[in-house]
Amino acid sequence: MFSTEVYSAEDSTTTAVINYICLGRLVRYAQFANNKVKPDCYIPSEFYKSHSYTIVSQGMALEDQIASIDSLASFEDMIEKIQKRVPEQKELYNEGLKNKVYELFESFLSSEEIEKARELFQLAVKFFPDEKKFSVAKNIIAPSKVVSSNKSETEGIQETTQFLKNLGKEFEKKWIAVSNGRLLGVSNSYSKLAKTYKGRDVFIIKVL
Amino acid sequence: MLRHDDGTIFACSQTSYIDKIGEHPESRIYVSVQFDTLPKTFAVLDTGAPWCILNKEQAIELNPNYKDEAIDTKCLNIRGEKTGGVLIRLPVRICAEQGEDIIIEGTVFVPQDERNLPNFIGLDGFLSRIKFAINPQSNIFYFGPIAQ
Repeated sequence: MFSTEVYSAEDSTTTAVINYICLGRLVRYAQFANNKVKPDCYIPSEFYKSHSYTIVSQGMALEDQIASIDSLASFEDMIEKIQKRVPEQKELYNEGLKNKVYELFESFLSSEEIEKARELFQLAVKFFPDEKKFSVAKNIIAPSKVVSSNKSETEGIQETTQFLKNLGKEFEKKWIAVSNGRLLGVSNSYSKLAKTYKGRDVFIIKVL
Repeated sequence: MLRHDDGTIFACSQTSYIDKIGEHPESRIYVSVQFDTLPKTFAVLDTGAPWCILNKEQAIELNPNYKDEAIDTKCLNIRGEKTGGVLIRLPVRICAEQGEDIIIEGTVFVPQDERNLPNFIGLDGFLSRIKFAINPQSNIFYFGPIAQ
């Protein structure tokens, strides 16, 4: 569906012309000597006819380049590349990039690279500020922080730990409510115990 | 309270921990914690876990719509198995028997499968923000914030 070709024109002002066939439509860019891409710059065919040029590289289709992103650096490079495109192209490729965010995130998690996962969502929020999901995700995996430290001593923890040590087999796979080393309730439902002892200084534990 | 040689405080709080619940064969360090506003519970101290882990039933009790503002993931490795679940953000408190509780807001993983897992407090989402030490003779867990 896509093809990308990079041409080098022998001309003093234009150093490269990039042709994209996008959804059957030819979209052209001209890259000028100062290295700034001029989007939507239509190069009339007369230009090609009147200038000699040679193909200097056969670029990989952008779609395939997005699919092959495997690092933060390549993700950032691709974002920058795509932001220079005409609006229809940006929209099209940005969708692919947004999906790539989750794919990269999973790959960072499986290799336990949490810092990279954080950086990834920081980049995603920067380039896609309207995507609420990315800002939510960025906050969720942000580094943990101390919220407060206050005097609030819980009574009976030691008694409760002693009680739990000596629990019998009959409590296996059940939720139990314990306070000051005393068993208050047993249930298959956490919700039931949580509602019953709401607001009281009670430990609710699943016995495994 | 634990102090350094020069008298400065290492950890201002302490709590008893359990190393074994009932007849469960494995020994672990279970400390008293509270996830947000849920009733207090015990969680395994696990320096190998990146984040805290909260049981699905408890997450639902806290917020039945907790998945609405969560990140899905299939890639958290728990005991050598890839486990699917969601990541949420919660304040987690260590309950002190003596001294001060400490509340840390961090990332919490809620597994979506049916495995019977205990709750955990993990390294990156919690333990990396506190100083802690244990006394296995008396089963005491000492803790305090890093910047004291």
